[in-house]
Amino acid sequence: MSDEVINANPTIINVESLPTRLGAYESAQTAVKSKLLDTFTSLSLFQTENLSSPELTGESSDNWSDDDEPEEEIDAQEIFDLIGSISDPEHPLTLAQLAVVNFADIHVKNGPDKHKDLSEVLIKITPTITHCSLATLIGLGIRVRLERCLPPRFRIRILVKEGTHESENQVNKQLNDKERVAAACENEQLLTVISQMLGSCK
Amino acid sequence: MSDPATLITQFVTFSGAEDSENAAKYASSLADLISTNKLSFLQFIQLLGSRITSSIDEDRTKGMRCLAAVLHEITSSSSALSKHDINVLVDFLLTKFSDKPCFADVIKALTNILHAKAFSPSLNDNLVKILRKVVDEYDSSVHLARGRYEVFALLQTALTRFRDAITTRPALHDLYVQAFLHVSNGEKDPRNLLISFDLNKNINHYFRFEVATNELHKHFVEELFDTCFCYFPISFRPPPNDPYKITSEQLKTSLRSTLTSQFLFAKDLFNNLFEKLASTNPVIRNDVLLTLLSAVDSFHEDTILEYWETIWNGLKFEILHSENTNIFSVSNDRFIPENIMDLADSDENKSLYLVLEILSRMATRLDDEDGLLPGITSDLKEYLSITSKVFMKAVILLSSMATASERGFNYIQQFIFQSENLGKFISGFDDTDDNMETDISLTVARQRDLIDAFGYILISYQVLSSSLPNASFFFESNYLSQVKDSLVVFLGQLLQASSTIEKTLKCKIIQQYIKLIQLRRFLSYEEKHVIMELLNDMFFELIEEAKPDDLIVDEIMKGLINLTEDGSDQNNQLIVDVFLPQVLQQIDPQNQKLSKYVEVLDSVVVSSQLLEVVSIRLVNRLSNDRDFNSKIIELLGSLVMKVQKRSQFLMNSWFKGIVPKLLNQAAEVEASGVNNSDNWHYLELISVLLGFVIKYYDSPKHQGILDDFQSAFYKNKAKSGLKLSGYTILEVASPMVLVFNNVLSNIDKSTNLSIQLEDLVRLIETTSNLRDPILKVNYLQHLCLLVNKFYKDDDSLQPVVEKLYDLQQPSNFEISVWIIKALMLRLSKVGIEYLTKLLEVLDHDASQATIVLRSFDIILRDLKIFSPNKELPKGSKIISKVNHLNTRSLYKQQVFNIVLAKVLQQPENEIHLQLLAVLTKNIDSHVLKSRINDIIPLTIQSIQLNTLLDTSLETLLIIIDSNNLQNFMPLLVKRLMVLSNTKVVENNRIVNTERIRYLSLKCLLELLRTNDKSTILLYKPEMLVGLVTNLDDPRRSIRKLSCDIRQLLFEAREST
Repeated sequence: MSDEVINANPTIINVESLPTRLGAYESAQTAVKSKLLDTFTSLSLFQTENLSSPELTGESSDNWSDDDEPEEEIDAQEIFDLIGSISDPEHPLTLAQLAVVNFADIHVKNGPDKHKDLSEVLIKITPTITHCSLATLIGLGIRVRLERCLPPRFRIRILVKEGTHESENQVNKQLNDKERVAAACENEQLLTVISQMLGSCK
Repeated sequence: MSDPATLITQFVTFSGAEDSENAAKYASSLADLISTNKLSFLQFIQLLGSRITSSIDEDRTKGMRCLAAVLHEITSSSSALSKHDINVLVDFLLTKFSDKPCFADVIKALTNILHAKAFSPSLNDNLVKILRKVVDEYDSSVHLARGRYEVFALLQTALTRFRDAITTRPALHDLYVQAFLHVSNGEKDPRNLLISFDLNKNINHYFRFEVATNELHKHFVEELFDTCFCYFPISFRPPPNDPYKITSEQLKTSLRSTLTSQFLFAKDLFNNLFEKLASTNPVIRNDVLLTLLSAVDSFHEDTILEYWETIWNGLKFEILHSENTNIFSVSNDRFIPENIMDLADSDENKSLYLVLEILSRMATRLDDEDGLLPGITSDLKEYLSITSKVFMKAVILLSSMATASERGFNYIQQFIFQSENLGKFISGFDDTDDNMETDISLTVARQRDLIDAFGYILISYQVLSSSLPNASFFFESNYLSQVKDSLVVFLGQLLQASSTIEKTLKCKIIQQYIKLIQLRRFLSYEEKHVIMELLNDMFFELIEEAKPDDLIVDEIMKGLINLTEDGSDQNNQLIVDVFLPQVLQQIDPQNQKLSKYVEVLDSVVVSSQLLEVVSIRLVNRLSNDRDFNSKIIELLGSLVMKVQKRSQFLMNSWFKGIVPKLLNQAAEVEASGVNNSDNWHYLELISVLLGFVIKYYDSPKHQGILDDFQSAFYKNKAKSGLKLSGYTILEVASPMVLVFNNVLSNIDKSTNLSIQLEDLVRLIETTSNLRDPILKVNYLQHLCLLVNKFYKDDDSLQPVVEKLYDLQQPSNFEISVWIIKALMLRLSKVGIEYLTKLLEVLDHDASQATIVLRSFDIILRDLKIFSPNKELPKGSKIISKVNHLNTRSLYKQQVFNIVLAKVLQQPENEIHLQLLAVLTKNIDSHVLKSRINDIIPLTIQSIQLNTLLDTSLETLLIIIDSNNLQNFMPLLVKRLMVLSNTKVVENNRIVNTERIRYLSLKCLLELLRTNDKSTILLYKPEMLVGLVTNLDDPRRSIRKLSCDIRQLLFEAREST
């Protein structure tokens, strides 16, 4: 990468004010443990019911039981958490901090039946300046991250947000052309840069 | 042995470098012979003669070494050397000066002669001869470091021994300096440099140079400076096996003190240093600045006065042009951190701190002079305009220099608050021109800068007032006090007039208000009161406007906490007088924002003084609304815990004031029937708070408390003082047992509770008849406490346990388990006996396994009633001297060892593995790790079982960084993958629930993070493919972990 920084003075968002769901599972676990009266009941030698693993009725299928573990669909927040922490190639900041990736610009369409139908995720990125030559690289980074993290049923589309880049169409074409993406991913040098960007993912 | 010729031969044989100690022994024997007149010095020389005149270099050197060594011994201990001997020896040795192989030993011998009692500088002009020889014939370039060292040592010895003679006799004076300059020229060896710097320093210290009249002296001073400054900045990396252990820091400080040891160096020194300050390397810059600092400290006032402008001009732009001045934050308590000398020399910030330090020390040194302050203020005047780009930096410079002295402080403040400077902004302080228009518009950004500027000024007050040994005069007469009214009013107007959107500005003003209140003896209590009221009004208004997360609210809270934390009684009183009444008024069941106010109290009350006030008023607010009451009691409990953690206090006064009200509440709950979890919860909160009060009540009072509670709870005797009705909880089951449990748990263990076996038996009977599970557990805990702390006659208890210990009678058996727990906690023999019995059940009656496992769980479980002082930092003593626990810290380890021995007998037994799982769940990880080699195979085995996954995976997580896991990797990875991505069903139950899948993935993740990756990476392809299934898991937590693992795997490929 050249030494010259393309946008030397970007606007930065505070990490704490970004929407996130990270760490929700761990805190839910501790909350259960701290309940006061649970301790009393669990201290009884002859507890009536076993608290975990409810019994299944009927034959077991290949899917996890719906009643026991309700499906948490992949939604915009989840996608945001996946890609928000990618590092910007030229600043020591994340894409979410730089508002390149915005929660409102992520749209997820889950297919009616996740075992048969395709689903789609559409992300519109906002380059920090209209002539940002790194927009394609950022888009590529997001694509690699999502391809590694989403199940194969998802179709991923990444676009530059309307009116935020001088050569919008060109970038969009590049980002969603399978051949070009595949070719880019075989470029060792490019892949090193991308893995640096993904290194900060939480 | 005593034959001198043999001794010489032996010395020569051993005088190799590696056996010098042995050689010294022979030299000392020879010296003994000479000093006891058994051998004359002449005879000794004759014996040595053939060697020291030998034509073989080695022989000659060793002979000379022997001479030097013997001289060393005799000159240091006796007066065996006559004046004549000395004259002859000096002449002889000087003829050997050009003998290169023996040079070092010749010089050493000369040095030793200087030590002789009979040696005097005037004797035969020996000293002049020696020095002259050095000047004329010594050539440092032909000698090794050791030889050069000896010459330095010679000069050093001469100066130490004959300083008066050398410094007072003009000929010797100049000759000595000449010799030193000649010797030190071109030196590079670190050990020699240290001694050279030292000599240079001593010359500067003791010699007088008449530079004005004596050209030679002028030349000497220049040379002395050049001969040390040429090394600056010195850098040195010690070689690995340096015998002298010289450090780079030693050389640096030595050079620094040499450079600043001669005021005649000043001109050259400052010029050269400022030239080097232009470097971009922070190490060099810091070295320059430290040298300057040392100069400012050690030069005479007159010299500093002469050069202050040079220093000021050389340094001011370091601050004014710096881009890093944000390290001087307004929220700091001082400009220069106390530990600047500990900062690394490569730290760029250190330079900025040092600049301020130099300038302020310079100001301190020149406090009695008139030039400095007018000079710097007129110099900075142009920057002290709010429109100047370096405004803030100029303020930092001035404020930091104002910390130098009272006089400087007043001078600088007077300058800053002149109307043409900042004075014009604060109304009513226009002392020169009433009609002066401020033509500069004060934008919000400038307002913020102005507030920060005031912040820096307040810091200088803070620093100076705490450094003055006697500050009372300062408090009364400082200039800042004269403008404080205007300042306070100005801040207030800005706070109220500025738009509500300008949160940063408001926050800054609040910070400075709090700082003003905290300044020592600056504001009167009334003035503080006014400010507090202003902040108070703002605070409550904002909360009522329903902006709970408002930055300003947070800032005020932070300020209040600062005030309570600063330890000043007056500031605490301020909060008690102004803030607390209003917030306490809001604590009302009807208040919609009750939880917010509870939160406010929870954060602001951090001192025992405030807690005292709050607690009484809060308890008085207890009402009929049980939900409200429980919030209050919970708040009190959390406050007590927090305050005790910060700084312990005795709760004696609480016992009279608050405990009766708590007990009254408990009695009300009891009377209305404790039938749901909310009631139990409330009762628990009350009891826990009561427990705290008792634990922090002076221990000598505990027996009385216990007696009172016992007669109330067991003997139906009401205690009106405590508002406690009478109960007979031993016979009639009552939820009040929970209250008594917390009393017994927290009472000092040295107290006595008069309890008989019959009482226990009655309690056991009552307990066994109970149906309500919560009430029953409370009764079991009561029994457990009694046996653990108060009933110690284990022999009489044994038959009771024996009777109860019957697996066919579940209710009785449960009671026996709790008694065993009580006994085990204090590691009683009876306890261990029954624990072993319990283990044996597993061998002959597998049907009872579940009950036995649960029993172990109960025995090992940590209970609140047996918990140590968790609110206190580890190892700290409790203020009330109460020791409430009667437990042995190693009891779990003991149980663990007993059970593990059992498990290892039959590791394939599934029940045994289940037992181990129960144990690991209740045991600290360090106990587990102490037996890691036994645990690993058992854990691997139990992971294969579907029944024990939860605990065995948790155990695996604890021991996952062990290298011994490598051998099990194939098995482990396969099993963990299956558990995480395939549905495992047994007996119509899902085995791998979300938690199990989560734990499995967590284990895989940790394996990838902690262990040697080479083994696990063999499975990378399978893992990457297998984890794709997890990416579509219904639960988010699983998907997230799978992403993380895949990411790690991808990274591993990229790095290999």
